[in-house]
Amino acid sequence: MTSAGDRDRPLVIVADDDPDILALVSYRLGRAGYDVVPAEDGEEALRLARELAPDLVLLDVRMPKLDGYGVARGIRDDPAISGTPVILLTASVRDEDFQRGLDAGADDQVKKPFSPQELTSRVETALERR
Amino acid sequence: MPVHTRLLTQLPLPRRVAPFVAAALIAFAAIPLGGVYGTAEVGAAVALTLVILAAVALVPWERLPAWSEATPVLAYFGVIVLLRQAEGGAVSGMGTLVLLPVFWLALYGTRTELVVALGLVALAFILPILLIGAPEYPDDEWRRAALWVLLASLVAFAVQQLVQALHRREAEAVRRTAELDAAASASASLVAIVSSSRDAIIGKDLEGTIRSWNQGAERLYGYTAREVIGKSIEVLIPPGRPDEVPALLARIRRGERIESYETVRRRKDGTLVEVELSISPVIVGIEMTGASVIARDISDRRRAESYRRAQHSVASALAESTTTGEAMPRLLAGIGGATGWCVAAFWRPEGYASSAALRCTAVWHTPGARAERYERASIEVRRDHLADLRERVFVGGEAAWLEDAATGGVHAAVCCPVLGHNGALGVIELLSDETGPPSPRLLEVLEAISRQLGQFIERERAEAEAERLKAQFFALVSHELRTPLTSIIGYLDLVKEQEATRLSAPGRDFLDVIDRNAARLNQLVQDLLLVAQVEAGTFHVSLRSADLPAIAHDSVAAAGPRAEQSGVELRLRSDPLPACAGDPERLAQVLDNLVSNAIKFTPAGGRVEVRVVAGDGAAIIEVEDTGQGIPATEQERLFDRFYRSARARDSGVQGVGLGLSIVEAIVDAHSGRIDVESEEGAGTTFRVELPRRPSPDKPTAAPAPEKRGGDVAMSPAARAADR
Repeated sequence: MTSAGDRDRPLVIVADDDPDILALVSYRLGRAGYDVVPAEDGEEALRLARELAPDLVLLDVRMPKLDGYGVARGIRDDPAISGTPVILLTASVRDEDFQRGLDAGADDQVKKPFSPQELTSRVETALERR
Repeated sequence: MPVHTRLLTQLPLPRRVAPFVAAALIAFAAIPLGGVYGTAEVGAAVALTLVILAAVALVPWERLPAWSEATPVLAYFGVIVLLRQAEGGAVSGMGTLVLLPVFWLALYGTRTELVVALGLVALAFILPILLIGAPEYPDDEWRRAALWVLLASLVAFAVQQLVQALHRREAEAVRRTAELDAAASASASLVAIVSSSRDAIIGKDLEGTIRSWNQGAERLYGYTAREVIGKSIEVLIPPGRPDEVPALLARIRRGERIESYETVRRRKDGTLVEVELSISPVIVGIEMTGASVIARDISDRRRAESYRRAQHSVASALAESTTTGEAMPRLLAGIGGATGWCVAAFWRPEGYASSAALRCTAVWHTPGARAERYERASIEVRRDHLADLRERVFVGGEAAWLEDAATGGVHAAVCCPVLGHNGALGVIELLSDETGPPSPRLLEVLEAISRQLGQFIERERAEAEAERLKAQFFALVSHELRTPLTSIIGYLDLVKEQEATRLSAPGRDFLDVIDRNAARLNQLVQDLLLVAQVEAGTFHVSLRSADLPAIAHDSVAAAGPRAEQSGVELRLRSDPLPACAGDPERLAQVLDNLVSNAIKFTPAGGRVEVRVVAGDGAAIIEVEDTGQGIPATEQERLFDRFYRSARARDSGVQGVGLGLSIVEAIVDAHSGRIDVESEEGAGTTFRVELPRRPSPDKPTAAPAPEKRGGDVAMSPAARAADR
């Protein structure tokens, strides 16, 4: 298990059940200088997060098996990785969904659709804050 | 008025003929026998007598007027005159004969008849003297004749007075008797009315001792007359009202009448009854001897009033509440408080299955010291008797009651189902500490209340269902439309960044078309979501520091190419304004929508001017165009959702009619106002006034990452800035 400090490039886990968006986000972040590990559902994302101790986790909200809120809570509840920044990708515009994200412990929430600049700047900001 | 007795009509034949026969016999007998019989006068007298007797016997007197009955008597004078003429005797002999008919008239005739008769008597005496004179009638014969006539008149008038006085006395006596009879029967019926009256009618003296007591009083208070007459009226007064009777008696003694006095009285069995009293002094002659009390049971009226109150409070509780849970405490308090039942509860099934167990979701009980007792008692009653009853009511859908649960002080219980279209939705339960079945009226009221409540619950469920569908729609639009859009826009960006240089010029144009339409679709989805939020009441703006001139500048810059393409001159005039509180993205949306509308509806060669100026305590944004204007009839519908003006439809201007409704929603959320001024053919000006509130935070050079998740990609201005 490597720690965040040992890596040249920050490691980001990206989870989305939509393969197109997963590929797009992975490609964008890869070009922006991050190592990206993709996950296709929430359970996989949480398992990978525990295994790899990434620098940041980027989660779609609606995913099979375990949704983004569940993954975020799982990360916050695990002492080994509880400090990992979490960003949620959400399609909702409702205030109560935004509040659910906050309650689950997300650092930031990015609404779909997003521009490439928007995404990378949010990720950067979240990483700087840690 | 002289009394005239109709002898000829009233008497039987023998009795009415007899006096005439007797008088005739005396008259003929009194004549000296020597020589006169056989004279013409006597013959005429006999003939006249026979005529009179025949007339008396045979004429139908009852058909003739009353005075005609005097004619036989008067004719009789003719007989006497004839006889006197035949005899030529002295007055004295005639006198006795004349007096008979005169007295007969005095007794039975009228005064006029008597005067005529006396006149004839006078003639009968005077005529022979006058005609024949001396020597047959010596001088003193005048005096004797006058004396006889005078005497006869005096006696006759005296007798007539006496007889008439007697008649009057007799008539008076008869009248009095009739009056007394009438009075007696009236008083008997008055007694019957009083004694059988439904109202209690009680007589008491000025000390408050009961003197009379009718059947109504027996029914109302339960005491018989024998039990209470002679006792004080205080037996009817419930404990705790010691001053009431003395105060009422004092008013009566002053001669006051007391009308419609509403109070409470105690029955023999100790129960209380609400009554309305009317108390009047009883005055005999000039002395006040006591008072009459009329008491009427007004419990029914009171009950009807209280049921009306219950229904009213239920209606207002439902009208002012949005959920059953919110309405229920007020509703139960309204029912319980108004009907006097000490516990009111509402039971709902747990879940929607018909076999679901009932759970008590709200209880009300009479406030005060006895509350605890009610609580305990009602729990006991529920355990022992009611679970069954409630289930039966819930399943069977009909009200049912226990008349006496005989448990822990709470006795009667009523359960009424709350019915919806598909069976019962719950049960209203009332408990009382008195025994007895609920009145039919209470059941009616409960059923009416249950119906109202049933409708309310069904409406609430329908609203919850609509809310759920709305939430589903949100999820659908949000996720199912925005996720693919995310891919389209994201990959398009990639292609444009990396591959565009390898494409031909037409290929690049095609990419632009895709890009433009993706952005349009994205905007439409955003707009629909915003409108849905406004409708659901969940639309909020997050007030931050907003720099209006900068926002206007961005918006005008972004719209520049479109204006140029349409041949419209686009200008911005902005005063320097301090930063104010606002949602910059939403305000950008307001400007974008207004500016793009203005450009759409302004023909080539026209002009669109955007002004941002300081108003009185407000920031003002004006967007003025030189387009064709909006007819007055369309202006008020302009801000309606999905409303498109006739010109927008006819001229093929793109849009779905959401832009202005969104502008209005955003302006409203900023507590601002929007007006439109338009003149057909001259142009239109939209004017937005935003109240100037101090900026909530100091504008920072680099805006902090937005916690709500930015809509940056959504607004054309921001998109333009991104590129």
